[in-house]
Amino acid sequence: MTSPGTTGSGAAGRIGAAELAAYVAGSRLFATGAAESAFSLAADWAGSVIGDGVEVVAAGDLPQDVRCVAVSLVGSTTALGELLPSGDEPARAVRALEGRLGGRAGAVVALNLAAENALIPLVAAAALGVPLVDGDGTGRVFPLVEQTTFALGGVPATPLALAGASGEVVVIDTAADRVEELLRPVVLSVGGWAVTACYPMCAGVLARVLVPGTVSRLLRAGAPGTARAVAAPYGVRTLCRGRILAVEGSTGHGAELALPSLPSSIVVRESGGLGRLVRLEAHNEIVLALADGAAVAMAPDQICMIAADGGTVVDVDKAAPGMEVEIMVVRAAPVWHTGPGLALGGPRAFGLPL
Amino acid sequence: MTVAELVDAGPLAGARMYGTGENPVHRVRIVDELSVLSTVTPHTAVVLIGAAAGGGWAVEMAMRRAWEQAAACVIAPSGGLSAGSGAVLAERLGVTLIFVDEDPLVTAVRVASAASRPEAARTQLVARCATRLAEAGTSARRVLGVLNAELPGTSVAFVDPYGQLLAGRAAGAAGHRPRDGGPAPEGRAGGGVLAEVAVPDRDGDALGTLVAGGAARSPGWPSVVRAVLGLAVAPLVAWAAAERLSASRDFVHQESLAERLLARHARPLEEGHGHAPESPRTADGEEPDEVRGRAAALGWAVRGPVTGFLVLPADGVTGAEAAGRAQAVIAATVGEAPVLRRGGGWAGWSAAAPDELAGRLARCVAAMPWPCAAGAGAAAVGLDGVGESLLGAEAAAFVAGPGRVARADRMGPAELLGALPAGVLKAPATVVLRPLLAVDKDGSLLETLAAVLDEGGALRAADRLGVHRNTVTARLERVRAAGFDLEDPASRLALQLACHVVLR
Amino acid sequence: MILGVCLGRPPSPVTVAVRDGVPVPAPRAARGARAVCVAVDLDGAPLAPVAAIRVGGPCPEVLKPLVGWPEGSGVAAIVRGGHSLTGRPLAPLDTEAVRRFAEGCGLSDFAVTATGSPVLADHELAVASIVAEAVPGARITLSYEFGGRGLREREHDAILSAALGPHAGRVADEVAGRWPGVPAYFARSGSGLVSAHYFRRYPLACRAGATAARDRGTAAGLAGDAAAAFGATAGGPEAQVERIVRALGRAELDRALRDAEDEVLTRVVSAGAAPGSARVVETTVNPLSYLPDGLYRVRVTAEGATP
Repeated sequence: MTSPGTTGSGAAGRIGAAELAAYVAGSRLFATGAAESAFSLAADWAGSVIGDGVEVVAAGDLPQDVRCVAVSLVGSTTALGELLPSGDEPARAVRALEGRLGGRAGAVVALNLAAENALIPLVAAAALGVPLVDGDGTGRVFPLVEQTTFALGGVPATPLALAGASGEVVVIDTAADRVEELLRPVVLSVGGWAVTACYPMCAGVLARVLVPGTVSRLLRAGAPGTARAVAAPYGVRTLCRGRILAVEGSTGHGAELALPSLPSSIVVRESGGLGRLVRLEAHNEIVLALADGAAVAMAPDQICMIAADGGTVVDVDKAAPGMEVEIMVVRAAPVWHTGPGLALGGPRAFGLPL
Repeated sequence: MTVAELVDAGPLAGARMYGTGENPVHRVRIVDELSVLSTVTPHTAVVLIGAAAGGGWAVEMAMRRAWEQAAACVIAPSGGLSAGSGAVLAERLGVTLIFVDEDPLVTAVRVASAASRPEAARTQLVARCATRLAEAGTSARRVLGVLNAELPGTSVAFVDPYGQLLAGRAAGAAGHRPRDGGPAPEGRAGGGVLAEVAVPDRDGDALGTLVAGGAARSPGWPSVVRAVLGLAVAPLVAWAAAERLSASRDFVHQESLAERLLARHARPLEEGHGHAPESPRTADGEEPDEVRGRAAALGWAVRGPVTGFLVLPADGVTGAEAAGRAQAVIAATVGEAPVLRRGGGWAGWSAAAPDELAGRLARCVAAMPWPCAAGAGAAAVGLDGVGESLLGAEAAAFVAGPGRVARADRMGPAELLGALPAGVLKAPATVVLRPLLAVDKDGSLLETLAAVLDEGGALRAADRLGVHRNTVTARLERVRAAGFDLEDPASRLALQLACHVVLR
Repeated sequence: MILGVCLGRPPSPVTVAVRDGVPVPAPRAARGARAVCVAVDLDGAPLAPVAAIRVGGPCPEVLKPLVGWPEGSGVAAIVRGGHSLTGRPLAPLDTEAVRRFAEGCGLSDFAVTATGSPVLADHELAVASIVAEAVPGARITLSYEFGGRGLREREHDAILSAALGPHAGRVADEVAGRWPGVPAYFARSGSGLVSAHYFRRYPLACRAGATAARDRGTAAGLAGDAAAAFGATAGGPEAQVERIVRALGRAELDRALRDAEDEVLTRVVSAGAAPGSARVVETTVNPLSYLPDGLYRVRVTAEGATP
């Protein structure tokens, strides 16, 4: 297993105009949505505000009591591509949270680093003139705001502030398990997407609960000619290469679950090798991989389809019969493989009674 | 009881099955969550419900674990998994997968009862077939319809003794060997013959054979099929009898059938059969032949050597009613045969050889309500040649004379002489022979004259009469003395005819 | 007989006569030609300056219309209005701002893009009628006619199509002059054809028409411009409609799909298909994640045969 990266001394670096391209490229190595309008929009947006750069610091290098806030896009990327940002959403969200808590935020941390979610925190840091913490709250991407290592470490997501494109600002202060329930209708009513500032905590706590070093890892992995595996801090393996046979609607996922998309099931026939029948069970993301009926990978590890032609990550919604894909499994941070981690991000969190 | 049997015949009839289904089922386990599968024992039919059936992934995982536990099969509600991937995985793992439409719990109960008492399930099928066959009544078409509907994966054909399809599916007869020794067609899909059951007519002769073809998916299946075929024998016998009864009631009906058969064989070119003496064997997709089917039901010979016959009433009895009576007598004495009005009499054909047929015709003319003669034609190779045979029969009947039977293949001068109208010629013959009769006190002269003319010489005439040749020579001297010139050919012919008429 | 034509660089077009799908010796004149199918690439074609109108809210400079286009590409304005993906009006359309801009821009090729137009095109249509009134003879391209991933991509397509309009008009005029009286069709990028009328209105559909036709011709064993000319004749009119629809339940979705299918059939007929031949060949429906239930991206493709 590779080292999870730096947690201690020394400035991790700076993302300026020159490093932005690598950062953008790195953010989509294991993330879907690279072809979406929202991603190019976020990249252009980030490029326009980056100025002379955003400082990237390890959480441990910040003074212990500096307040850090997590920033992320919430809602639909389709909506972001249609309803363009007014530009001040990240700053408004962070200012609203500051207003609720009193005092300024001294650093921004990403909730996750998948595609535009890597870029919005960068925009926030640039707009606020604060550093971006080298790390994130998942080490991969999960669909729900509360599915973070922050939450696993005991840090609540609330109070949480939202800023919408039409100038809306909403602050939510509630019990941790009701965040998603309150958040989603608000996001819909402001147009389908918003920027959130949440998980306020001091740097000393953040250093304990984040998945460290992931920002600088993306910068390295996104450099041209670097192996994709560099972007996976805890290792990655190829499950198989194959051709998609069918994409089916799926059932058998807990009905009471309120995930943002419908379950589906992708059937892949392995080309070469054993010629196995591989079934990818997706609910918002691929949660379970079966090979000839035997479970070979499951959440919290991240299972992605990489298009054999082009090398981009194939969105579950865009998988179609006949596509050639490589199925890769990115190992999740160790904290996700603990009991509480599995409960929050394992198959049961996606409704699979395994 | 194997999985295949459950699907073919038993409680899962009609369910969709993927895989071979060859594993025996000893028990049933209802599985509502995947963890239960680790406790499943071999030869178990796993019925998935609830979470274990909730989605393709669950069914696939269940199949995998069922395979690890050597379970007999996995039964899942349809819709849980797409048929495509189900089939692929069933093949890859060698686990049989069955989709059922009804409530899996109901399925489980039915499979359990079948597995615990395999005979009961088979009996159930047989009983159901019996009920449906009873409903089908006496129709070969409906009977075969029931057999083919109730025996899934099996094709049943009803063929005549020559292998010709009478009803049902041609595929069923694919592996069947008819009795005339023709080679069984080769390369047919669907496996071999599962069961064959002979169907006799009411007299015990072979009416046809029920043949079931298909794959024997379990050791017990052929015997089940045989039992069901056996159930169909009685309705088919009844069907044949009913056809015969209606034919005997309606002379015209059977006559037209016979005419159609004859017409078809008389015009092979128009039928598109070329000059082949017989129509082709059952081919794939061949429709059962309606005319042939009914002819077979009536017990008529439709293939192989046949012999034509003609029964000729002496006094020109005609009409359909008379024909109906004649037909009844012919059926009773000659056997089931078509009867057509021909040449003032009643013609037909039989599978019997001329020898045998002549014997039966003798009984026939004896039983006829009117004085009749009968003729038997020469044996023909098949129906194509029966026209020729009928012509011979007609000639033979004409020469036979009332109460007698002649065979075309044995007809010679004697038979022609015998056909002379003795009644008409008796008086002239007596006049011609009067000088001789006047001196012939004991009839020995006339007898000797006839013998010499018939045999063509004194020596053989002496042999026939059992006397010394000098005796013959002496008697001939007395004939000549009466004024008859035996050296004149014209006199010889007249005398010979006169002798025949007078001595008859 | 059909004429396939590749309009490459001057001096003269390459022509292939095709009968029953097979190239035949070309007659000197087009006498008897049933149709002329043109393969032409529009990349590198002169672009007319475009007046771009976006209906929506304020946004960062970098995301504004025409940002990143070369100098002289046109002028742009953002006016208040638009709809959210659920169809909710974000703001009333600022009709006065539209009129002022249209009257003052001095251009006659307009591209209109409204926020949310894949769901509801009302504001684009309203802008079009204001512009048509304010600028007689204006050529107006509406973004909702182009499918697309997001507002910026759709807007880019609309502006580019509008900018190609005058050049496409000249190409169509030239073809009509050379083969008078013969119906003309143009090869689409991808597959299929569109009528000359459709080509004038939506030239972007044929942006890489010659490249696509050349690929088809090369697959048929020809080479060079002749391949493109032959490839142009392979295929019939084709059109696509892409929408975001909101439908609760199967019945509503079916109704929305029928509407989209009706629309694409109308469009393929406008693209030159004989009305009786138009048929839907593909319908894809993708639910959109992280949005209210019942929002789907619907894409319907139709094709037909030339009369």
